[in-house]
Amino acid sequence: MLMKKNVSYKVALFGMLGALALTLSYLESLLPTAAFLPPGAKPGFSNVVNMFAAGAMGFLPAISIAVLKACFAGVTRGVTAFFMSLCGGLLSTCGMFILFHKAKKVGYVGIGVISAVLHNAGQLLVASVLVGNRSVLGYMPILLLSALVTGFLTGSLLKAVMPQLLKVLPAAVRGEKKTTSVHNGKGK
Amino acid sequence: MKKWMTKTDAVLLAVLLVLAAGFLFWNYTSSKGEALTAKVTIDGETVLELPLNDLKEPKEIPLENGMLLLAEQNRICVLEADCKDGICVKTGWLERNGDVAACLPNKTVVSVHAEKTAELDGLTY
Repeated sequence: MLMKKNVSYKVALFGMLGALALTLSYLESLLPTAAFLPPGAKPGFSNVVNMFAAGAMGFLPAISIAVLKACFAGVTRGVTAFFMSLCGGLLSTCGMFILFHKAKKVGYVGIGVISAVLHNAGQLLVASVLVGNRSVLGYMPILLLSALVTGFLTGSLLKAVMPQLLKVLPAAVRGEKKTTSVHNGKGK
Repeated sequence: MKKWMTKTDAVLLAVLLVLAAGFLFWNYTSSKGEALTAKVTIDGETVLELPLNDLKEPKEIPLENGMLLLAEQNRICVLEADCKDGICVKTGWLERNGDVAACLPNKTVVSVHAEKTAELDGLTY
């Protein structure tokens, strides 16, 4: 009974987080190339959702959200966008997860910045493969700079909302070690 | 519970900031006024190489995929592209060595490179 409840909690929570991530990335795409950002760079607010999932729920939910976002990008913006979002999302989500659970000295800002940088790096790698031209990597310094700003913002944003969200989340969903493996059985 | 910002974070921020700013500054100052050559690749294949330095008047260059480039003396930009995001158009003028405008939907990259001109124009003995 308890397990069943957890599963439906997880499904509902994941659905809401997924919807939130998609909404945020859509709203972001409406921004007319934010004046302070270079062309092609985005604030990456939906990364907050990824970070939350990576930090509070576990590896699989976080990765699933990255994949979901990639599919959304693929449906709305085409194949190129799919691969770029997928590669960037997977790389940055892996980074987030490791930082959240292994790197004790890194705080929210560090996680935000590193994951933003990883996201950009992944996207640029895909881009350079897709266009078959390495000169695309010349975008990196300017993207690095914008990742510093946006990563700082997203990290701080997560720090601000995390305590409230954790209060709402039942412990079983958090993917913490307290829960027995039975609860995680579904996710694996 | 993780902290908002740790010492490690601050160091990381500083290092990345210096790296990015340093590179951009170096890029900005080092190469203005060199003779540039524009190179256009579509799907990895070079379709056009155009020396920009001796262009006397602006020249529009249509590409086979519907993109329109505008070349002027020592600079070039993407004027029109049929993609939705138009990142390559927003990139604006490419006027420094290494500047790039990429259109991913069209798999097209426009870049400018400083010509490897010899230090000496000529030699007499």
